[in-house]
Amino acid sequence: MGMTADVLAAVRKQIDAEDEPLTEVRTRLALVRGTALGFDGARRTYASGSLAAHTMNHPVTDGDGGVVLDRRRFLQLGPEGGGEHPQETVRDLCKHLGPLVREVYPEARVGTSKRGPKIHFGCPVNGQDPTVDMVLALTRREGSGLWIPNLAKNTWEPSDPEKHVDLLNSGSPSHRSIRRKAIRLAKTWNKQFSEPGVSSFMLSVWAYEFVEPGMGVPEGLRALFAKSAQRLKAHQATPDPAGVSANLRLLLPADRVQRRLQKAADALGEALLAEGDEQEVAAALARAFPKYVDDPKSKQLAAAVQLLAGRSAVPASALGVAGPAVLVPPTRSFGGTC
Amino acid sequence: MGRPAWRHPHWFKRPANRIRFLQVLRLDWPGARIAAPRREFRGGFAVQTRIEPVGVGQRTVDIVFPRWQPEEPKVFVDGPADSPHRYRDGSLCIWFPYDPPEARWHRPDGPTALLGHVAAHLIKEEHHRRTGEWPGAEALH
Repeated sequence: MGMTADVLAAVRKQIDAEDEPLTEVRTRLALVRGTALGFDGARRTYASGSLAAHTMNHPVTDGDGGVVLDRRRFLQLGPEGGGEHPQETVRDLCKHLGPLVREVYPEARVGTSKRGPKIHFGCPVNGQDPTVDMVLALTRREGSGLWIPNLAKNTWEPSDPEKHVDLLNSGSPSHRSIRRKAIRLAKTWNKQFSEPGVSSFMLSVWAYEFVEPGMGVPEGLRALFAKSAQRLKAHQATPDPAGVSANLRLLLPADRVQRRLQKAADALGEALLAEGDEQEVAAALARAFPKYVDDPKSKQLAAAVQLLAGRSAVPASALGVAGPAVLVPPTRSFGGTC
Repeated sequence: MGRPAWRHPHWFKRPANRIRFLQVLRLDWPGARIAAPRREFRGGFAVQTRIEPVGVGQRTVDIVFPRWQPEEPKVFVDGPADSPHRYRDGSLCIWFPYDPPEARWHRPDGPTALLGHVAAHLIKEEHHRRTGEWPGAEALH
């Protein structure tokens, strides 16, 4: 392994999900899936999300899954049935799950997320208390995938979470492993920003598209950053890899996300060019992973930036300016072509 | 044509004011010195010193009070200049000129406060070069 790969491996070590919470969330998901199968009209259940795609980072927050209903039992439900909205059925499913889950986890509470029941267990493991987020789904009469609810809008949307998992788990074992590592690192990079610009799923899709067989982790991660930045620069959309849902959306304006991705790609590129010089590699990677790579200059900068990003005045001494105690009030930097 | 109306001389026209500004600056930056203003700021008042904002490294800072804008300093620094918040002449766009007084620097605040603003701006620029993100508020055109 080269030095860039070594430093990235050290980052991964810091973000590795702990075994106990990971085992616990699998147990919880299995329990909820099994319980959901007993719901009147349930046909099958599935696992989805980062747990199923093996891209979970520390801390373990949730396990995703879904329950697919038998259309014959719910003739009026969904856009291809009588157009009935999902809320009432989701409520019934919550009522079914609650008492049965509480037999094993007495403190469990069942609420709802955007897509279906969300179960809080009230039983932390190593300080982590992962939820289980279930999606109530209907098979589609035409086209592949499932209808899944959007409870915020009380509508149904097409999606194919099972295909997503299949795609993200596809390829040779080594390619799969590199892609998973790249996804976990990209998710970590994204979450360092106070406002993450990309959803974890979109990062996973970019990894699926851009990390090619034969690449190592540094090259794969660089490809993910560089090619997604290129795509955004060219104003191109990222389609759903399963070809079922609408194009994927960014969480922030594209130009802002593009700049972030390009800077991360540049940092990875510089680290790869500096192979052999440990300090150079660490300094370059600290630009992409300031919270995880130990570079004194980057750490100091990150601490100062955190102060400056707030709305309070900052002591000049915290910025490296000696002298009497002076506070520097926040200003609005004037923009563009001043 | 009559003579132009009398105008109050700029604060830095009085040697005592220039010396006082420099002396206050030298209390903490003994190397600070009066510098010759750039050609385009001829007739203005300029000082030069070096600061080391955290995570940025040492920078030479030129503070120029132009003749036509004696209360609004122009600040130039050496080092990398790629930044979304620089004026065309390369000086730092630290604050929006029409923001309320508490969100800008004023001469009574003293040179240390001004260098604090400069350090904050350089830290933001460095972060932007590394991540593509500008921390803090921006007044975009």
